[in-house]
Parts: sequence; structure tokens; C-alpha cells
Amino acid sequence: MTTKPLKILQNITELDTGAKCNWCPGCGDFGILIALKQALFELQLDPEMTILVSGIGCGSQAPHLLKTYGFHSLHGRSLPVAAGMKFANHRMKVIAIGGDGDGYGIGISHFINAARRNLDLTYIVQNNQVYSLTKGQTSPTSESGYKSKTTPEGAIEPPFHPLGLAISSGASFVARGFAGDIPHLKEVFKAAISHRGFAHVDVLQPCVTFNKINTYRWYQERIYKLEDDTSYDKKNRLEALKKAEEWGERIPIGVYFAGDRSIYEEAVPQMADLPLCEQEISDVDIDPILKNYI
Amino acid sequence: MNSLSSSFTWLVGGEAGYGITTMGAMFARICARAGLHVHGYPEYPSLIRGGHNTAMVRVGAKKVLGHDPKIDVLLALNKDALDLHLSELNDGAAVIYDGESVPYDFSAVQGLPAGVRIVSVPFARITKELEADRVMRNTVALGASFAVLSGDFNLIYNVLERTFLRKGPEVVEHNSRVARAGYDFVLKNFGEGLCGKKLTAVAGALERMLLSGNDAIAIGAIKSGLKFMSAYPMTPVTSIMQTVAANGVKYGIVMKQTEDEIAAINMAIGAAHMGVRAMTASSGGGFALMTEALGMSAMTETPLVVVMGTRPGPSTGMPTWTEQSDLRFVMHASSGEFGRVVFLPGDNDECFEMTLAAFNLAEEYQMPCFILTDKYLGESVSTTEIFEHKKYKVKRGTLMSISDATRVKDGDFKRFENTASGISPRAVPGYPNCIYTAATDEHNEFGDLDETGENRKKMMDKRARKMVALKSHGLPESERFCLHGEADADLTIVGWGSTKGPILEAMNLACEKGLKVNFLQIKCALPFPVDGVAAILAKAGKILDVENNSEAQMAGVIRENTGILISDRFLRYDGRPLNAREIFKKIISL
Repeated sequence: MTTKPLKILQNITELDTGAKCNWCPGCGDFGILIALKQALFELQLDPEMTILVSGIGCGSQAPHLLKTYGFHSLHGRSLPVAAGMKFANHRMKVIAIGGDGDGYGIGISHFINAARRNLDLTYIVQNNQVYSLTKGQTSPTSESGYKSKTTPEGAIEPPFHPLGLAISSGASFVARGFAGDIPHLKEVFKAAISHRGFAHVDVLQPCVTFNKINTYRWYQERIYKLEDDTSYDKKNRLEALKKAEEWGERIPIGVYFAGDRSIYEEAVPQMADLPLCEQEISDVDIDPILKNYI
Repeated sequence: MNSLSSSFTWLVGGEAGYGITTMGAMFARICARAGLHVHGYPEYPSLIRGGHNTAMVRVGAKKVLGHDPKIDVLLALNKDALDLHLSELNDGAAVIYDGESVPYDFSAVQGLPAGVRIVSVPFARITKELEADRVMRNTVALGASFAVLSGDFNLIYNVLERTFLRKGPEVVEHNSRVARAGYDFVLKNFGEGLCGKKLTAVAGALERMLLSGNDAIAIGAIKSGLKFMSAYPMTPVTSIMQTVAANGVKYGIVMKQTEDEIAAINMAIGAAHMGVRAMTASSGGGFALMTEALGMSAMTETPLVVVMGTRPGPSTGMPTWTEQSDLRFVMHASSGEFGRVVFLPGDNDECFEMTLAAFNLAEEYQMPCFILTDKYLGESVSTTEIFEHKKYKVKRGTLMSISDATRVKDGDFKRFENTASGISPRAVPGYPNCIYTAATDEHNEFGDLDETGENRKKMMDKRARKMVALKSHGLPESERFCLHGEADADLTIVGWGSTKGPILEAMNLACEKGLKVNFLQIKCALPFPVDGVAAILAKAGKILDVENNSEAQMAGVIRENTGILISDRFLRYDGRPLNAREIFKKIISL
């Protein structure tokens, strides 16, 4: 048997693992996990053909809490691990997840290159603007002046705006969600996961323990939904770039950009037929190669 | 083996970017096709143009075990080549240069050996007269060097024909005419027998391959069923990437050049986790970036093959030169304690065979396996018998099939099951009923996070037991070292890796002189062959440790494992490979 029978979920609770969770009560990670489960369930994805790849950080525990295959990798490295998985078995749905420190700090070069490469991957960033697992230090998305244990006089660098970088690096789908609006976030996830190509979703996620500035209330006062603006054209890359600069008094959520780029996998003839992992390796004939050296 | 006097060394030197490497490859190919044994060693600086490049080719009727720095034919394409290499000539050597383009006062040279012949061939003028492209001066020079060695011109012609025929017969004839002009110029103006050494074809010799250690590793990986390679270019392993990539479409292998070495190893691990055979390759600085993820391979028990081709460090060091200084680095890289295999191939056959073994062991024992080479082995070419590979069996250990997985009860699957051997059943994502998460954090048998002391000890012991099983089954001690020569000797040389050829040749030279010398080759640094090495060294007479590094790292590993101190050491760490002559001299001095 080379293909497995399709597993169809009857109930969303089949995505629960029952593993103990150590997130703080009220953590935005709960909203993200619930929205992701709902998205997977509504899309009727086979959990055995789905893998969630995380880095290291509070939110990177997510694979242990979602009953799909999982890989809890290294800080900042979820994207290259996910890319390797996609190369090996491009029939799998591969979703990478990690925090802002993970993706926009230590892993930033992988983020840029993943966007440029445009493998068919989904990348969710749990962006809480603070390092929480290490108990409260400044992150790449912390506001200027943000006081933390490592920046007692306040952060000097301005915050990093990931959506613009994703768009200019070539990401074919760029969106933003809010962990406090699960129905909306679920729809954003469904669109991202269904998109063919590299889909980046930045999720605004309050950290109730260490970030006393960017709270649920702070976000609720500022966010608005892009889809409410019927004139907004999410296929327009330049408009999306402009929109990505919008931060402060008003913060857009929803799909910023949904472009149409051919995916990397399609250009690789080695993967045109069977996934690499299903190709026979037991008796490789190297005689034609050896002849070249005679 | 050849005695030093029955082989000869041909060296072409000139400015980088002027086809030196191609010329060396062509000369080596012609000699190999003539049934001769060849060893070719390139030296070049870390730049594209300018600087001094050489290609050294040693040729003999019997197996050539390494380079010999005493030059019999010096083909000097510029003044630097004369300035730098006239002091390296052998007795009876010939020097070929273009005296019209590069006037040179040989009378001012001190201490030229006896009987050196100076052969001035106007490469530039001949090329112009034949209305050939300027770059074809090299072809004139190649023809001239065959005349100096009294070689048959047909040997050149045959290789030119095989090389250029697909470009058309007129290209073959043009190249042949240019080479012939250089050949004839020498015969007409200087006569025959200019060099004390002769290039004589061996009639009826077996066809052999001419390839580098890197080629052997790449071919071994393809034979093993490699499906995915991710790497970042770095001397001296880049040609492995290129060989794999060149065969990618035909063999269904993806070779992905990544943004950095960190991505390279993480991607390879991601691919291997899904059930394909995957590898990466790098040198010191690049491997330094890979060390964190190396631990991930160990912790998640994901098979991984890493080729580490070393060069002089620390840091950027001397990027295009050779050194064996990363033995300890590879043995200990990454945090924490975990098992790994470190193969130390000494020649092309071992590069091929150890690569085959590494892919099997990585999967059977679900751990990282290294092939540790260096620039000297990786980039030197030598004639090699055609690899025997029909007997190779792909062994995938406890990797399950989808059918196996269908029999698992959902929720029961223990990816990290605490078995007697430490080796757990391996289902890959995409299989039914086996959902699990692999984690770099400590985890229990199911893969769930567990930091209790009891679980930690259990899982550490489980992973460690794989190394015990590997030592007794997968890679028994007898395969991890080799004693060359007679068991009974007054002197035992200890070495590993690329020094194998030069040490073997020095040992043979010493034995011819009536000395009783043997050579203990360490073929695997981890798991270290403790008992075998201890037994041999305990009853050895004198012991000499020979390494291409400054700290005698293998002598340290031996001391650590056996308690035996080797105080006689012959170490070279100037970026140049050890050669048989200097090792022999050291043997004599003991």
C-alpha cells in the first residue's frame, strides 16, 4: 500500500491531543490555536496529511496541542525545516508557526527567503511584541520606548513591520489577524491555508503577562477589517505595500495581499510525478555516472 | 606501488583564471587513458583571477598513493611559475616555458639539480601562426610536455577526440593541430629524451575511473538513494553539490542551494523526517553554523548524513588549502551528549563505501553520521578501479511502511519507544494512525514534552543504547580500523583520513630499506575502536603519530580512550598535505 486511506474528521475535538498546556490564562495563543483548529476542521483537512512545524517560544508548543503530525524544532528554524518537509513530500499540508522573536528576530533571513522561494507553505506568526518564554524582553516588533528587563530605558530601535517585508520579498499571500477575534482569524487562516504558495499570517496576540501596552483593549480600539473596505484591492501589490505601513491609530486586519505566483514545486521536474519520499531507492543504477569518469 | 623513481611528477603553474585546472585535468585524463595510474593535486588561491595556480599530476605504472612534490616536468606558463618551482625540481627534470614571451635568466638560479634541461617553446608565437585562440597556448604547451616525456602523440589525440568530438570533427582536428605543433617543435629543436622520465602507455590495462574524493562521495550518496541535499557553497565541498545537482533530474534528487548553512541542515533534517534520504555538506565555518541543528537530528532521532570537508582554520583560515584540524570539532559539535558516527575515509574507495554505509547507519540507528574529509582528499583526483556496487543493500532499519501503520491502533504509536536496542519504530508524517510530534525538547516515548527526572534518564539511556547496538551490530570494531603491513613491526605509524596514501607509501619505502614498519589506520573516530587500537599499540615498538594538524588530535583521542601516550609525532599544519618523502625521512630519523 503506498497511499493511506483519507481520514475524515467528524468532530473538531478529534484535533485535541489532551496534552497539558502551560500557556498563561488569557494568552492570545489560545485564540490562535482555536482558530487554527476551526480552520482545519472546516477545510476538512486530513490531520494525517498535515504537519505543524514550530520553532521555540511559548506559542511553539502548539504542535503538542493539535492532533496533526508535528515537529517542534529550533528557535527561528521552523521555515527551513518546513521547506525540507515540503520538498520531501509535497502532498503534505505543511504549516509553520512561531513567535515574533522566532520569525522576525533570529529567523528573519529564512522568512525573507521563504517568501522569495514561494513553496506552498503557510506561516503563522504569533506576534505578541515581546519575548515571553524568557520572561519579558524586547522583541523586534516592540514599540519604540518599550521598557523591558533588557531595555530598562526603553527600546531605541523602531518596531519592525513584517508585512511590508513579506510583500517586497515576494510572498504571494500576506495577511494579519487578531487573536481576540477568533471567527475572523479562522477565515484568514482558511484563506492562507487554501492559498497555493507561501502564505504569511501575522497574528496580533496580546501577552497578558509581560506586555502591558499592547493589550486586548489596545488592539480593539485600533483594528479594523480590510474586507469592510470594498474599494481595497488585495491583488494590488503596491497598494498592499502601502497598507502594510499603516500602524498606530488604526491597524488593518484581514488579507493584505493575495497574488498569483507559480509555486517552486512546479518548477522542479524531480517532483512532477511522485513525491520524493515515495520514489524507489532500493536499486539505483549508477553505471551511467561511473562511465563519465572513465 | 611505484618507487619514487619509477613515477614522475608533472606540474603546470600559471596565473589563476588561465585554464590551469583544465590543463591538469586533461594531462591526468590522457595518462589515465594510457593505462597509467595518476594522482592529481590542485593548488589555488581563494580568488577567481590573479594569484598563482598549479596542477600537479603524478603518474606511474603502478598505483600512485599520493602526490610527490619533486617535479620532473615543470610547465611554466608565467614567470612566477619559474620563480616558485625551480627549487622543487628533481634530478634530470625538464623545464618548459615560453622564452620569447617570458625571458628568464636561468644562469642566475642557484642550485638547479643535475641534468635539468631548459626547453623554451614559443607557445604564443605558435598559437598566433596557427591562427588559434590565445587560450590555446595551453594546448601547445600540453603537446610540448608530451614530447619532453617521449610520449606517443596518439595518446593526446585519443583524448582530444573523446573530449571534443561532440563539438564536431573540425574542433578535434584544430585542437590536435595545435597540440601537434607544440609536440613537433620540441622534437625538431631539442630532440628526444629530454626528461629522465618517460611516459609509456600500459598496453591492455583495465579501464579505470579518474575522480576525486568529492566525486566518490557524491556518487556514493546517489547510489545510497539520496533524494534531497541542501547545502551552501563552501570550499572544499562545493563540487559535491555540483555533482549531485548535475545528476538531479535524471536520478530524481533535489539539490537545494540554501540561504545559509543553518537553513541547509535544517532543511535536510525536515526532508529526512518525512522519510527521504537526505544530506548536507560543509567545511569548518559553515559547519560551525550547523551545530545547533546537529543536536536536533540527535534529539528528534532523525537520520542525517553530513559531509564535512576540512580546511585550515580557525575562522576563514586558508580557504583553499588543506588541514585535518576539525576532528575534535566534528566529534564534539553541538550541545549535550549524543551518539554519532564519524567516518574517516582515506581514499576514493573509502569515500564511496563509507558514504554507502553512512546512509544505512543513519537510518538504522536514527542518528547523524559524518563523512570527514579534507581538501586534499576531496579535491585531488586519482585513478580508481570502477566501484563495485551491485551488492549494496539499502537498509532502512525500523522505518515502517504504510501497511505497517494501518495495523497500529490510533493513539498507541510510540515513536520514541523505549526498546531494548534503543531503536524505536519509525513512522513518517503522512502515515495513518501514527500521529506524533517530534520535539527538540526532552520528550517521552510518545513525543510529548516531559521534563521529569525519571523520564529524562530513561530517554537519555534509550538514545545512548543505540550507540551500543551500533558498535556490536551495525559497525563492528573490525571495520573501524585497519592495520596495514606486517603485524610484527619495530615502528607503528598511526594516522587517519587523507594521509593514508602518503603514509602507506612511506611505510613501503621504509620496508624496502629493510625496516619493519606498519601503519594503523583509524577509519572511524566515533565510535572509536578502543579495544583493537589498544591491543595493537600495547604491543607496538615505537609509535609515530602522523597528522595534518598542529595538536595531534588523534593522538589525544587515542590517549583518552586507551591511556597510551604517543610522544613521537610528525605534524604538518602549513596548509599543505603531507607527502611520502617527508614521512619516510621522519621514519628514518627515529
